[in-house]
Amino acid sequence: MPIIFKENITFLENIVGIEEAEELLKWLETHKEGAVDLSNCSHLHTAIVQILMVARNPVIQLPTNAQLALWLRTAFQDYLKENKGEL
Amino acid sequence: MSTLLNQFVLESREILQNLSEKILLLEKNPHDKNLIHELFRGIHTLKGNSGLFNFELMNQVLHKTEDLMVAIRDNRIPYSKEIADLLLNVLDFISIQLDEIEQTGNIKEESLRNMAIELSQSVQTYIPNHQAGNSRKGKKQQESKKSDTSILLQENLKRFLIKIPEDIRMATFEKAFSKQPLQFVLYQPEEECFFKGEDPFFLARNVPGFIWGQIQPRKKLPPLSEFDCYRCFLDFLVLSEAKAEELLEHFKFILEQIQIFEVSPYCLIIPVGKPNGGPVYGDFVYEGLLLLERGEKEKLLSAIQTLSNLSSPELWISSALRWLRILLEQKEPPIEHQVIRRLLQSIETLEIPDFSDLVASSSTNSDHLETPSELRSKELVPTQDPVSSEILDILKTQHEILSFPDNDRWFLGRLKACYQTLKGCNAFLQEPEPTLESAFKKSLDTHSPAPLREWIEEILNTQKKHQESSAETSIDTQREIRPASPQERSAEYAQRNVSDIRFGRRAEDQPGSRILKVDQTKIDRLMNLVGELVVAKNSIPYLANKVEKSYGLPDLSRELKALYANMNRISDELQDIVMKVRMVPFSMIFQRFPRLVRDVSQKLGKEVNLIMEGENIEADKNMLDALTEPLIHLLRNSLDHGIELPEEREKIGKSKTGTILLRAMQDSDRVFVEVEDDGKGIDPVLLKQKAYEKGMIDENQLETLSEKDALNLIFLTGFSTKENATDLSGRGVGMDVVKNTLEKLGGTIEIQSVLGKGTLFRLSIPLSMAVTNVMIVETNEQSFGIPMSCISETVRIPEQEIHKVKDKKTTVVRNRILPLFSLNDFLGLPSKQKTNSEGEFSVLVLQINEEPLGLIVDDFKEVIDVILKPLEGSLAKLACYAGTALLGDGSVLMVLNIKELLKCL
Repeated sequence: MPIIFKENITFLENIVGIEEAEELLKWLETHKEGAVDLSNCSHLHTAIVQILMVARNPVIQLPTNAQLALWLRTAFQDYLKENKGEL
Repeated sequence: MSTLLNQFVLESREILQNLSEKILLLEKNPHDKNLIHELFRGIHTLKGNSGLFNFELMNQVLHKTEDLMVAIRDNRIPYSKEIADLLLNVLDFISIQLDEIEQTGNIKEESLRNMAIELSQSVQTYIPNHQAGNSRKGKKQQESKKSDTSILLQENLKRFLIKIPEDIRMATFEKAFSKQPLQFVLYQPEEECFFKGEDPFFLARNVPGFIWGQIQPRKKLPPLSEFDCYRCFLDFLVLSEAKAEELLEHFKFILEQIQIFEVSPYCLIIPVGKPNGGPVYGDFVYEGLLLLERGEKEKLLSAIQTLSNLSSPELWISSALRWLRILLEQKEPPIEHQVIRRLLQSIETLEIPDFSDLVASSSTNSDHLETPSELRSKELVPTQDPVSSEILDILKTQHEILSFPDNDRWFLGRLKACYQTLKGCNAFLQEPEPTLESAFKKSLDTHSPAPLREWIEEILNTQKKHQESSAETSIDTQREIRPASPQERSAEYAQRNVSDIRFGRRAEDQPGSRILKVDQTKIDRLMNLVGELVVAKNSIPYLANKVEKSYGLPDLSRELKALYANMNRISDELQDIVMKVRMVPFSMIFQRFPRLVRDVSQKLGKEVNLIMEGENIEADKNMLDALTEPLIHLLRNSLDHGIELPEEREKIGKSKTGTILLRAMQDSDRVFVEVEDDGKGIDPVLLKQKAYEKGMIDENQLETLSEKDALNLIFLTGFSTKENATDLSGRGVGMDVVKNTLEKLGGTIEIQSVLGKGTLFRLSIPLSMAVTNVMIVETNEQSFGIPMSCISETVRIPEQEIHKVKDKKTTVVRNRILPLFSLNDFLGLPSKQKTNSEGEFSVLVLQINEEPLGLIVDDFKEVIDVILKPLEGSLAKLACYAGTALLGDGSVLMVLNIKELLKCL
């Protein structure tokens, strides 16, 4: 599964396709403060990016993939809360 | 030729036939919207199909034709006879290709390339080019719209560029200034794009020459609760150093959703940081301007150095100074003073300098300062605007003519003709070249076309550069030089096409196809009827026996038996044919595997070579359909757990690339499919340990279980799931499901594995599942059916040869110990098994899970073909019955499911 939901944090990993969109949306709706960790993500489908932009949940880790991070840093800049280890 | 390709050819023929009918109908009712829609859909399907096989030319022509159909559908151009001719030509072109594919399995692209180009061009002439705006009306709208959008875009662009980190901007600037102009792409995907399987972000991320990208919502995004996650509301902005053509190629299927603009590298000069102006800076600016005027760059540079040493690097001024240094240090070609001046002045005003009216290009003269109007004309404009493409075409043709081998008699005339043509063209060029005259003279003097040819080359080169940074001003001239309206030109083309691209044949002229497509349900019905016929036929021997025994008419009985033999032959043949109709080759399911293996192995970072054998072996379509899922699962397993990573493989002396062998074989009425990999194999000890930990086997079994039995543990429900929870496995099909699926089909699966060498799965399924071969046995005066697939032989064993070991009956058959069970015991019947008159028991030797087992029955009867009907309703829960069958005398035969029955042991 490219998405792992934990109690108050969700990990998006590898390639996250549009199939995961609805589930992610549901989770974000019920976890308004739920954090998003993208560190192991290599690609997000447009729909997923869009959901994250609409939900504005805190993004605590950008992908290690530099080019993807470059895109997402500006897209998520208002709610980007890159943590340094805790949580 | 592969089956898929065959299918493609067949289908395409059908579509072509259909389309040409529609085109002809449309000629009679040119306003029939439905027909136009159908035409469009047909072309669209053809295009999609051809895209599957990478038939580039076909796809290209169809793509253009599709555009044309869209234009017609949207009422942008009227449907006309000329268009009909053109469409028919396209169909002919496709038909020729199909012929070639059918004969050779491929297309020799070269032979058809010219046709394809010609066709594409003639189609193109009809399409109102919404980007270049072919029609006058369209152009005017375009122009007014453009001025709006260009302001909007500049705003967008500024906001976009400022977010790029300074160091990246600087590096890009240096590169862009001397080499490659930059392109800014605004990609606005349509809202429904997800439904077309598009992922705009993926496309944007993979833009060639990518430098920087940004995602921005097209409008204010709705709150989460009202948000429709299947619509796209995002725009993508990309800065790229690729050529415009490359970008157009990248976005070729969604050209209408993108805008590409050439960006002057000057636009990257955006000082950023904390504003902190003061009188010192004012002085510096004044001095700097003075130094610049005098051309004392070195002094200016050292002044910059001094000031930046004094300023904190986060300040706006430091950023501006850094830029100044870069501009001043730029040697080849040097930066215009105007740019430096503006940047210097900005230090005083603390406003981002506006360079949007400047164009930096390595081709422009370094110190040439352009007039404002000239400058404005080179604003950010779409690179799409063709600069007098007709003129360029003419020039190219003339170049070609001048390249013909010389012939004294014609040379002079040809040269003069070319000169006249070129003179005409020259007048329409943006900047008429005065050198034409001298080039012509030189050609005359030297008696060689070379000088004129070189002149053309020069023009073509500069035009090409101009085209990339094309200007709005050229539009007016273009409009005048356009030789004829699209309608006039199309008429011209159509006339030419009738003679040129007819290719002497029509799409419908194809040889009559020998293949008939039939709905599968009809075949199924036929199969059922044949099955019933087989059963009905089986009643004749009963009747013959009855006639002989009850009525004492042996002659009639003999005749009936002869009749039966005859009917038997016919029904056998009939059954055979129907079975064959339902047979499809394994390639039908094998075809999808190379792609699967490729994708999965790439995902896992493994190198795998898939070898497929026996693709021509045929089996019942239902069987194959049911086999697909298990095979996919086995392949995934092999890829995921079997094949090692390339480094690991190298370490243990295997070749870097793993091999998976997929092989189909036929043996009488069964088909075997093997999936074999040369991976790490399965460790039986580890399996036993795992099973023990999960409580599936006890301590005793842990010790005694043979390797083979241990391997079979993977088929236990719930065994594999936990361990394999990667994103590849764990799709809800475990090995237990694979096994169950196969057993439902009447098949088996076995596994062989050598640790470190690899694993082999062998699947065996019956060729067809429509008719089952069963043996009728008798026990307790009842008849039961037992599928022949599990019976290996029948033997009669005298009572004295049956031994009892710990209350279990056994005997020895062919030097092997055979455990014996009584069918009556299984079925809970109280009576003892009967012997025949010689005191022998009738024993069926069954092969269950490779183990021989003797089943004692009262008597064997005949073997018959039956159609097995599964039990329905609450009876369906009785797993020990495989189903029921109707016998010839009208009685119902219960067919046992031996495997289930043995579970009652």
